[in-house]
Amino acid sequence: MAQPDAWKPKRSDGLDICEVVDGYVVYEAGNDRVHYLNNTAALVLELCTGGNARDEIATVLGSAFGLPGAPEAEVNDILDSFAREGLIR
Amino acid sequence: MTAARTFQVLGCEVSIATACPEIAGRLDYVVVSAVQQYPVSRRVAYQVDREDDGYLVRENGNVWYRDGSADRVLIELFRRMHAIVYGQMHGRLRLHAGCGSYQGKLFLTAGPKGVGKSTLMARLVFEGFSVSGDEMVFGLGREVIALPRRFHLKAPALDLLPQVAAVADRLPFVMGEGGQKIVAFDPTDAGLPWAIGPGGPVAIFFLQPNHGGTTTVQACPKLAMIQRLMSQSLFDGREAGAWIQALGTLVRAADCYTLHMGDLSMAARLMQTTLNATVAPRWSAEPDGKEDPWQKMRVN
Repeated sequence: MAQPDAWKPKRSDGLDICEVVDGYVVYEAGNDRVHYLNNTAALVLELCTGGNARDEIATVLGSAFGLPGAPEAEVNDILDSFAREGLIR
Repeated sequence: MTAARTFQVLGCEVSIATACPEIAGRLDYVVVSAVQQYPVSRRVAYQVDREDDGYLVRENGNVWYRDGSADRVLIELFRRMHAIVYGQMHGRLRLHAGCGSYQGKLFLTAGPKGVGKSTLMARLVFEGFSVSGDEMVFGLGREVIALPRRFHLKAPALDLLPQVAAVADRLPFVMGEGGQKIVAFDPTDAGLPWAIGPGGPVAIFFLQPNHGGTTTVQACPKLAMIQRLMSQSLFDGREAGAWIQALGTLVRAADCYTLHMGDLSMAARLMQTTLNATVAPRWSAEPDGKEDPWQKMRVN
């Protein structure tokens, strides 16, 4: 799903999030669907505040996990997946 | 032969009276003798009488059920009692799981139908565990309470339970669908206490069948445990988000394991070892001392 570079993803309304030690269980009431997010995906979802662009999310993620560079490709994949599933807009 | 029994099933006090020997002699199939730590809020009385070629059952004086089979009457009484309890527990999590404790540490055993939950829980009675239920627990926030019922053991399971088989002749039973004999057992049949009260599980075992194979225990990610437990639970009366939160509340505080069920003896030993290594429930406390069950991750 192509998104402009300036896109600042924001978590969709109506998500019910249950946190466990290894990630999130997210219930999407509108579509009556349940999503299981690992810790990396959970962190990305938390960063979808509407104030962070994709590259900024990747930079934070790289710092959080002590990576040598920002994992932009991986973050893009996660964001595309979130967008397809309606978790972000 | 006449019989009159009064007993508690969580919030319901049940009285059953009958002068029918076919019912009276097997009434223990439905009677619960567990000591229960739960307030009674409803009372219901049943009277079972002969009528023509069958039986007439009255509930609080009103005709409720007729059937020609004593087995059916017992099964329907059993179902009716539980339907009342389910009604009282409306809005709470209902999880298909056995429930017990080992050295004070409460655990749950969940798993798909036919995996051997009841057989395992009956075996644990003889392995130093306190077993409160074989079938279902209700969520009470961070705690659960077992549905009080005698453990239902199909006849082939008795081959794996020599201690139960030794007393099987005096245990109540019904002939279930397909003509299969279902024996009803509880810890008091083995001269052991049977107590049911609320408690917070420190471990959840999800049973996977490996009958005839090796018994192993593996740590199970909590996300995966929630996913599995969703397939074994009901949450009537509220939205799914609350259901997931209720499951999450239990899973967060418990260590989660997959128990691949080979032989029962090894399963019991592995559960003992695992529970010995499990610590008490872990809930963080906010600075004001109020517990925070959610421990939300915040990164921005």
